[in-house]
Amino acid sequence: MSSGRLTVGIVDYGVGNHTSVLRCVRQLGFRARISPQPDQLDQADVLLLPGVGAFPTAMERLHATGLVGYLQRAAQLGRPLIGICLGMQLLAESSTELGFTPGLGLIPGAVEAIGEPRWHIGWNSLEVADGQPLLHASDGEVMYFNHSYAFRGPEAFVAARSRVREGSEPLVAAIQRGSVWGLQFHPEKSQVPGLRLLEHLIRAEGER
Amino acid sequence: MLRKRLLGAVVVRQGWAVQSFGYRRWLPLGKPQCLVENLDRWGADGIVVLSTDRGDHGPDLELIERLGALGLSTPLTYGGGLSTEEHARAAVRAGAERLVLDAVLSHNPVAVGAMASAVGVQALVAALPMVQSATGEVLHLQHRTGAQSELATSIRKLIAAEQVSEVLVIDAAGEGEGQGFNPALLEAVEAQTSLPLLAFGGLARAEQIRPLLSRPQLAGVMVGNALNYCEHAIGHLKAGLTDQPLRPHRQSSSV
Amino acid sequence: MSTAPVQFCKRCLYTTNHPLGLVLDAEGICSGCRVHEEKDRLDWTERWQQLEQLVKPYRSRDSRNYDCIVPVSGAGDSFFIVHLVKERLGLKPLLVTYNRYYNTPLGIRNLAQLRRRFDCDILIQSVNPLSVKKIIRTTLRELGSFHWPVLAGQSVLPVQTAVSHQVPLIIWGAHQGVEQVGMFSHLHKVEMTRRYRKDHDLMGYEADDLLSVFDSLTEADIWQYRYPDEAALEQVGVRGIYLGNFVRWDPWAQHQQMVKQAGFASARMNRTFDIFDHVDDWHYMDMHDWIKNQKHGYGRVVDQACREIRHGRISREDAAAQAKFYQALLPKHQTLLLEWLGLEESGFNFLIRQFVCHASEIKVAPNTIEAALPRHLFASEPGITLDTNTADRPVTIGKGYPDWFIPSIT
Repeated sequence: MSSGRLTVGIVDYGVGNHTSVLRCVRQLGFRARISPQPDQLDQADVLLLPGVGAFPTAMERLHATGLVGYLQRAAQLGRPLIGICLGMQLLAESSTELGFTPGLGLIPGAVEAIGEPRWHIGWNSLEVADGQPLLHASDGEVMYFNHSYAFRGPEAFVAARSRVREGSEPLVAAIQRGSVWGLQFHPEKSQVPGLRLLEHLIRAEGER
Repeated sequence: MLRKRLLGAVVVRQGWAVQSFGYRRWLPLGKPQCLVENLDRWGADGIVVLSTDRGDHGPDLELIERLGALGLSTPLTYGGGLSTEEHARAAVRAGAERLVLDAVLSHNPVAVGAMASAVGVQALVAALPMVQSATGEVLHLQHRTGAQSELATSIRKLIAAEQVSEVLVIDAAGEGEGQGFNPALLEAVEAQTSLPLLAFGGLARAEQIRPLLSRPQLAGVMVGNALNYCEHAIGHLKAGLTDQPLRPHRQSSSV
Repeated sequence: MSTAPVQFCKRCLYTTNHPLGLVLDAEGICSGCRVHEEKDRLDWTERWQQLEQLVKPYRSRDSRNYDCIVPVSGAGDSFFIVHLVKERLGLKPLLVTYNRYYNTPLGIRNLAQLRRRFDCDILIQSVNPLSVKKIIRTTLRELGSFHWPVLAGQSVLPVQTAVSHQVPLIIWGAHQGVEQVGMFSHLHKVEMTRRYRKDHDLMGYEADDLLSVFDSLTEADIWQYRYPDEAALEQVGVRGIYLGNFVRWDPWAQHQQMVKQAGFASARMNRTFDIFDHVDDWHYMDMHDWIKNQKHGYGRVVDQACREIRHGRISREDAAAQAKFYQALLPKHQTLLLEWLGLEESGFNFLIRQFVCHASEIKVAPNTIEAALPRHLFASEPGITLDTNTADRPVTIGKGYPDWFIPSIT
């Protein structure tokens, strides 16, 4: 482990419980703090955007806390930003969950209902796309998913997929554009494989 | 491909983690947080905490927060005392990934829809303790009252409308005895819904688990008492089930 | 944790306040007594066969390694356990013992007797005394216990040794949860787990918890007490079994047998009628027991009395009288402990006061209070007391013990 400790800023926009993500990141050896304040988040080397619940509520909260502009600027500046679960979906241009809602628009694509099956719940293996050196070691690893909406977008931004059944249409499991990453699964709930992936990603992006 | 799950159950009564025997007898095991943290370390596919004595007092939020503070890297499901939308919201806020609903299905099934809107259908699991009568009929057991009856229409409707994402079928008679799970109970529920099912009650050995996992509709099994009799119980069970579509067991090592 | 009123078992002296958790059935008999009934119902011959089958794959194929690890001390069930392992199962054990520091000369002598009589190899671990005292000062202040290092060391040393020596099987005597409160049935054949150790032996605090929760300790003080990681345990296949699941466990009878056959030495101790358990420890039946009484409302003599009630050697009334008498006795070696720890008496009393709870009064009819030893339990009087040592100081293994101290053993 490198001696200079990276700081992870967990974006707090009033939705969900961030304790598990906070503890996880600290256990990985990083400094971490949860904050809604831009000046505190500015001190982070890597931003983490968690999320649970419904897309419209989350976007409403992001707007209310003034963080939409902050996150968009952070992406423009090339700051590392990792969205987890609903946090990944917020990075997209829009979602049709409970009606049409615009997202942060940081990665081209839209979030739509999975359809069949209705939910993707449980442990499933990652199929990492070509040209993804940071995720390469996690190809075939089994992660924990819990979602009913999924990202659909250009091939170029899809970093990993997961399929519910042999031969079924794969769901997008991870997206990436520049320094902005989205993980549909819960790395902080996926035990060793998830922790390894998260640690690797934070370190690689944070040290660039 | 989605894997089937081997879940660890922690039954809590009067603040103690307990061994449960048919919903009637309990023997103490220790502190819930010690059992939960242990299941996390062992690599269970999920941890399900069931508070059996909440009655009308709502969910045990203090317990959920305490468990959340452990820094688990395994999904945590909570059941016990959940009967309103606010309960569901509060339990998820406190750190539960998913929720198990039991008494509310019988007492106030309408509330389930509100809970689904609040936390999402994928966060809800319906628990159905079932028994098989002497005449072979499979009946729903309401463990608060002890009443055994056909599955209420309201519950059937709820499941048919998919207001929950999974159904946890509990072998109430076999629970705790380690003598296996009665497959007739699963057959009866499979006839009512195509939702994924979980099975809990009486499972102690790999050879008891195997026939359940090969049922297409079964998404996972839950093991309770039997996980407390030896070290690495999850690993031993998985070692006996390598032919099954479970998440492979790995020796945990530092990241 | 329960808010229900405290209830007593109708058969033994335990209450529903027992720290391991105890339940009463519809007849008011506790789970510990019910599981004890299995001792008279199970086919122990058949269960011995199960044990033989269990240990078979662990017999090492050549003479260059041990078959099992056996944790021992200079007291308790050690003699009987080694007798079963070596002489009845025919296994080659590596004995391991954790140095608790405040050893009695009798304990040192018993340990040497154990090793020589059964002709076994033994590993003795002493963690540096500065770290031990630092830990104790912390656990005394925060948990009201000075026993944590002994509990942690005794329970982890065999596991660490199993990993370092690549000897997977660890053989223990009886499981405390089974014997005291019937936490498990003998039929469950419960085995050693890290979870139980943390939950019950260590009061919820492993080494790293002491480190993260309390500011006073550093990594250097506690790493010796750390459990090996999961990967190492699974790679070696470490497994701890309890002989009490396969043998009708009766400590009193077993100790007497070991006095006769193997030269185990017993002694009178403070605060109990028992003369076998804890003869190796200056403080266990003294300061430690007195503190335990303050915290939990009962002393070790109650555990021993319940054991003897269940084995049919003493009536509940007599046991209650014995327990009442012995629990009232004050500790004698307070100065010894406090000097060793570097604590003032007033400071110590202040620490302990915060852990006092209300003792559960055992109801005893006034005219049955009996101060003497329960004579019918003894074939012959033990010749010595724990204080038979004019140096009156603990002996640290390695310093040796006074060679003029030779107890007379028949």
